[in-house]
Amino acid sequence: VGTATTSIEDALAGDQRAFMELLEPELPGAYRLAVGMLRDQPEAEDAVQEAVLKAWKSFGRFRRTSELRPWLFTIVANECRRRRRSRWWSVIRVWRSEDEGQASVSTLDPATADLRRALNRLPHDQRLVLILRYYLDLSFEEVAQTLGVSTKAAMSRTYRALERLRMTPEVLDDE
Amino acid sequence: MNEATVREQLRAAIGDSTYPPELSSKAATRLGQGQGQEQRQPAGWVLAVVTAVLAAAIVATIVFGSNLMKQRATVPVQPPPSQAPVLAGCQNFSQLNQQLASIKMTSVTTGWAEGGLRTTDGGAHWSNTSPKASLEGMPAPAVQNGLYPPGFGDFYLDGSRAWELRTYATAGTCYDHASVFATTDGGRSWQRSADIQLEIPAGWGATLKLQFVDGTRGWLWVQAGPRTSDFFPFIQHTLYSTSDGGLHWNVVSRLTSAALGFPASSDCPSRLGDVVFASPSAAWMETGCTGAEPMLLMSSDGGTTWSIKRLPKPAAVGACPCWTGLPKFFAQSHGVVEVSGNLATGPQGPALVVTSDGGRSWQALPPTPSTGYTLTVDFVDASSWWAVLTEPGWNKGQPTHDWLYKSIDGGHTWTLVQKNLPLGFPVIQLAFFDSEHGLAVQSQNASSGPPIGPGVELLTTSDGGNTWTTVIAQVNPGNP
Repeated sequence: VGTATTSIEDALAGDQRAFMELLEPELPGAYRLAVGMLRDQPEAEDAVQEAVLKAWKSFGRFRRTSELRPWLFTIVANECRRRRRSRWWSVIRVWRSEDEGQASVSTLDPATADLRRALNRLPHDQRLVLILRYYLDLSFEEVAQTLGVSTKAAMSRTYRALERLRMTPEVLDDE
Repeated sequence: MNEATVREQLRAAIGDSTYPPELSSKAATRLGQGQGQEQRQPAGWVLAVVTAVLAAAIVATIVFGSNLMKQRATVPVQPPPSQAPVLAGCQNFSQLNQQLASIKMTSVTTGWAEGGLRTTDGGAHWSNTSPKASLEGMPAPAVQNGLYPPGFGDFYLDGSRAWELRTYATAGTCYDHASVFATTDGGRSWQRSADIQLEIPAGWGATLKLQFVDGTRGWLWVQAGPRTSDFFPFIQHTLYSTSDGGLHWNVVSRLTSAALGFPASSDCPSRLGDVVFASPSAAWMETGCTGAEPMLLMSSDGGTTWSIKRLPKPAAVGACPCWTGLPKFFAQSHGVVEVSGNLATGPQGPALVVTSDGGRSWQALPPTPSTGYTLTVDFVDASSWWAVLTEPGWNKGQPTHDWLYKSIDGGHTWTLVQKNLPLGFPVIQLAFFDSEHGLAVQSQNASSGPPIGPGVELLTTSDGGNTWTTVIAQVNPGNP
């Protein structure tokens, strides 16, 4: 704890090395989040680097009592959203061509390929909540912190996203 | 399907990702380059600003908190509930998504935000008007932290009339009954309803939503389902109504999607969403699609019986999945609903479908300005609409100022109002009161980034969106 506190104080004072020491344990998770959101590993690498830069620029606003991981993941998620918006057409093209039979999809069983297509069509926020919960294994409390919402709202969003993927028992139980 | 299965299937669909070990050093290098181009603001400077803001907030809390205490005169009409033991695991508070959510301005100066927050100075100051009686059984720290009672819901009709809602647990269930609190004087006094029995089994979760069309007639929409893991599906849908301003409630209908005739073979999932009443008799419910056609559920007998109403499919919305939002009605005859889903033709965002005959027929509108992605649309009335879109061809490295458009013919044509706005991303809410006055709530300023403070930034305009002023909103969230 003492080391982390020292690193935070050093980073707040402008020490880049201390800042990177703080962030480094979270970078694999950040990268996994970016891959899940962008479906493009080089783009994900670039997004994480950009997010680290933005995190550094805004680190003065980081509260000492906050948790670093949700804070960083929020920045990474925003960066992914920005990139998906900025390259909307190319994203659609990539997904469509992939859907149409590139190797990575052709090796999937039909149900999994269908699920991947449906996942790709989800809006950013719904895709994000599923990535955080099921691809990064975050608790709902951590998902809520990353999204800046209540735990209840995070659970509700997760449910709604799963509902759109037809992965909840509602339709089955109800019909 | 349990969460383990969900996780397994989603991971298979997403695929694996191996962390490139050189990414850490790349990020450090990028950091050095970025730092060379643009210095981070010193932490001490920011902390000084934060300190100043906090000091101002403390002063405001003292000033407005004391005023609040003087104004409020809560009038519970029933004795407080007994302190009987409740089922283990029931939450004794709830938390709203964010501060200053779902702002509804009822005049240029007066308005409400979720959680009983009320402003009388155009949004600069907000006070919590929630009734003290609704806080029974909540832990003191939760009250101090501005948290809300379990099952909290609210509805704001105009500048003076509002309703709040909470649930109560017993030894048998977390959602035994609910109470509605009503005010007709802007939150200075509240009346409490008779108990509303919810009949929700132990182990189930629920959401409750209130709505009124005037001062006496309102509805309570309760959706509940078993907590199969950390999330829960809604399988029990119950509609209650009141005709005396919320003091007494009766069950109107209990619904299931099966009973409503959703096509069993549909490729698109259908669900029962939120309900909106255009009049005391005409109600609409958001849902999904049947086949590739968007649909709503409609009732013409006050929510007792429901039927499927198919809508025309906008050109911008492709095949399944697609979703219909909650319609917004103006004077019962004119309504609009957003349809979203798989994008067939490009980055337009939600498509709009309208009716001018009370919902008997619906027409898909031409796309909103096709120059960018539609982030949000605000409907002032049947003809005056506002929309925020991304700027055309927006790309990384360019400024992120979004563009504001206005329509005066109900979305048939759009005029660019302003493109050099301090509107950042995401614009959480855009709300115009009239053709001149409006506000925007956002989590990030296009120029200065995230706001310092509670997490949202409020901007107001009084010249039809041409110029915007940032409001440092001071919120007194403390309950009495």
